[in-house]
Amino acid sequence: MEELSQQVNDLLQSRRYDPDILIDLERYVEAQCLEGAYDGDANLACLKLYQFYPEKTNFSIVSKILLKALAALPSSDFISCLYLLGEKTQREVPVATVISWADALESGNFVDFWNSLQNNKDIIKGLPGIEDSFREFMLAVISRTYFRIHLSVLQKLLCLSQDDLIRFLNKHGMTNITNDILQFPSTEENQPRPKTIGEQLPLRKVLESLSNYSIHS
Amino acid sequence: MNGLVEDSRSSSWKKNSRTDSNMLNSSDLSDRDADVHFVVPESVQQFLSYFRQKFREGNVSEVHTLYETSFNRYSERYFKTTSWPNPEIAAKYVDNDEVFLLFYKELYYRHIYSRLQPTLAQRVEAWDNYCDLFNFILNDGIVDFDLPPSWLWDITDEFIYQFETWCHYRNRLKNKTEEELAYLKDNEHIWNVNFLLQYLHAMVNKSNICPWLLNGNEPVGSSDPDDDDFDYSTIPVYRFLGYFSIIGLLRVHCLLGDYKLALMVLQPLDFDDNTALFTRVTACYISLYYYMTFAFLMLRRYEDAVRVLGSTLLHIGRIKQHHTRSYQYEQIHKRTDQMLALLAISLVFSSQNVDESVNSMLREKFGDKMTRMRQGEESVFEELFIYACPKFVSPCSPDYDRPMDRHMEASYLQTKTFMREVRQRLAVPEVKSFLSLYTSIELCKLAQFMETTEEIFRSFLLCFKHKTFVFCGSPGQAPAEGSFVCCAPVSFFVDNDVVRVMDTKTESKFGEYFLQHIGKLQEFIQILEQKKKSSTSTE
Repeated sequence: MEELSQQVNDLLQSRRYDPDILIDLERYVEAQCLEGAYDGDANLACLKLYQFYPEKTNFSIVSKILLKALAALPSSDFISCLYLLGEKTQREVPVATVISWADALESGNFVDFWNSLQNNKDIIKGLPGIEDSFREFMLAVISRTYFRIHLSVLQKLLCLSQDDLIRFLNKHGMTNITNDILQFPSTEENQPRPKTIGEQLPLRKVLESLSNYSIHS
Repeated sequence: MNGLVEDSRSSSWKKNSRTDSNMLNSSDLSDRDADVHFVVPESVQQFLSYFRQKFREGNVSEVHTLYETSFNRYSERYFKTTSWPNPEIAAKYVDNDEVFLLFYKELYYRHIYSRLQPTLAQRVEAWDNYCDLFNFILNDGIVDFDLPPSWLWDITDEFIYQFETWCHYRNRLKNKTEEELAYLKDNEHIWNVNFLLQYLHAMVNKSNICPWLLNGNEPVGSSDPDDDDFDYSTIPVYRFLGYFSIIGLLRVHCLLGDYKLALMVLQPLDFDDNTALFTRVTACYISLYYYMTFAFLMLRRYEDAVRVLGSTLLHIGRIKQHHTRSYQYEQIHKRTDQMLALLAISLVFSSQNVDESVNSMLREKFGDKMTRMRQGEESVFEELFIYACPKFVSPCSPDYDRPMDRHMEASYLQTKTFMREVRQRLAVPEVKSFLSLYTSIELCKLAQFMETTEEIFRSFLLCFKHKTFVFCGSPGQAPAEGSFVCCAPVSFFVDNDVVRVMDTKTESKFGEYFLQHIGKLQEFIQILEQKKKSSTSTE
């Protein structure tokens, strides 16, 4: 994988807009899917070549790139990918479905997201572990929203059976459970502390303003 | 600039990129024949000859005046509705100076683009001239003349502008003749996005501008062309062209919708440097900040957009008065309004405030629109976005066998994706307005107030937390860098079934207050001194 990553990096430095490197970029996408690695910039370069040479578009690769970008939330990778897709690509079946997943996921409709995913399992075939990547993103959002949450609510949000949920939480160091209620580790956001917005006055601004005035004797 | 600068030493594409415009139908060239009968006024003849003389002498300040002022004055007087003398005719007055003619031709076509409707032949010739011009600068030894930075900026900027119009022109197939369609189909290399990018990259590479920037605005190598480590950045023409090409790349990537790459090309620029090269040409300054903040907006970095737009608009307000008579005034004015619109959109999704003087400009221009956006009116977002966005392009050629007008497609797609984000985000201001009414309330009650189910309300809260966790840069960082921070307009958390809302305290802004008053005092002192002066002079 490292070797491939280096190779792709070299190609992007010397021949970023050359359609002949698509084969390598696509191979790299497949490898990322299988091995749980991620290189958003290389994947964007691949989409850009599809933008320049639409006839070379491989829709299955596009949907894989989108899924990987979706799993990289909260980064803006997914929307960055979307800006590069032509109308025709956006309408193509696996791609359109993945875009609708993004809508659900980013609007906090985790339950809808899982429902749609269960009905279209074939789309995530070839991406082992991607479901857990989505869960990790969800858990991060949930832990910033909740201080304590009932396991039954969490189960629905993460689409896990009770046993799997406990295992998943353990894996992420969340073990503080009493009476089926999970308490998240405390963060800035889930504690009753008033937030203060201080004044931000960079030195540069002060200097800039003062340098406009000459001092008269 | 890892991976962004291409090595273009293989020169095959350079040869291919040149076209033979004789292949074009001669009817396209009819306006040229008319040109032959046009008598060039004597003063224009003299102007051209003088212009060329100063160009050859390397008298930059005089060339600057001729370029910025005289050329426009002559355009206004003699060539308001016609083109300047055809380069073949103009050649007579400039001693057939081929190098000068390369630059003259660039002006000639630029004038056609700005005042007339360029024909297919003219578009192609303009492209060919850019190829010749750039190949000359890149490959024909070291240029031995100097040009004012504003001219070099205009060349780079116009090159991209003409590419932009070409992409639109090529995608409007409905009113094209069979001949034109056939020509377009056979000449994919003209204004090809790949060649465009390669020229810009080649310029960045050749100029050695990145090492120059990283070395604290100093060349790394020697300034002696005979030395092995001769450094092109020691020559102003290359240095400026390389630098402006970086900003050109920012623009091209924005037009293509590749905002991440757009910000990444800016990596070597120093924004804290008051003498940075982008400050030398106002149009360049504005272009840089417009496209950079636009990329922020598209990458949903609203906090950064507000921060940078706020200070940029203040700066433009200060320098604008020096440009009231400049040919660029209108362009500056329009871009300022567009940036103000970008700021209006960003502010709706940001937790920050802007400087009072910028705020009053906003209220005056978009006050009503901002209120409506805050109330969640989608159409206002779309309207402002379409007003403020650049003219996106589809880089690939259309399907010539299905003659349709698809020049708006790129714009439509970018707007659609932007609006998708807006729609997802609209829950944020709504949730905020409900939450700020309470300090502690049961989830199911709040859901009732918002006329929704508890489950959907929970998803609103998750959406709120997700959308207010934003990627944020800081003034000292490169535009592509930053980290995630929570920028929520209201802080809350859910404790099992109860929502607890925290107060936000805003500290008084003492620093700002003092700065304002120091400013007022200074103004006051100045007035007093003027009074003193005028009273002593009358005595």
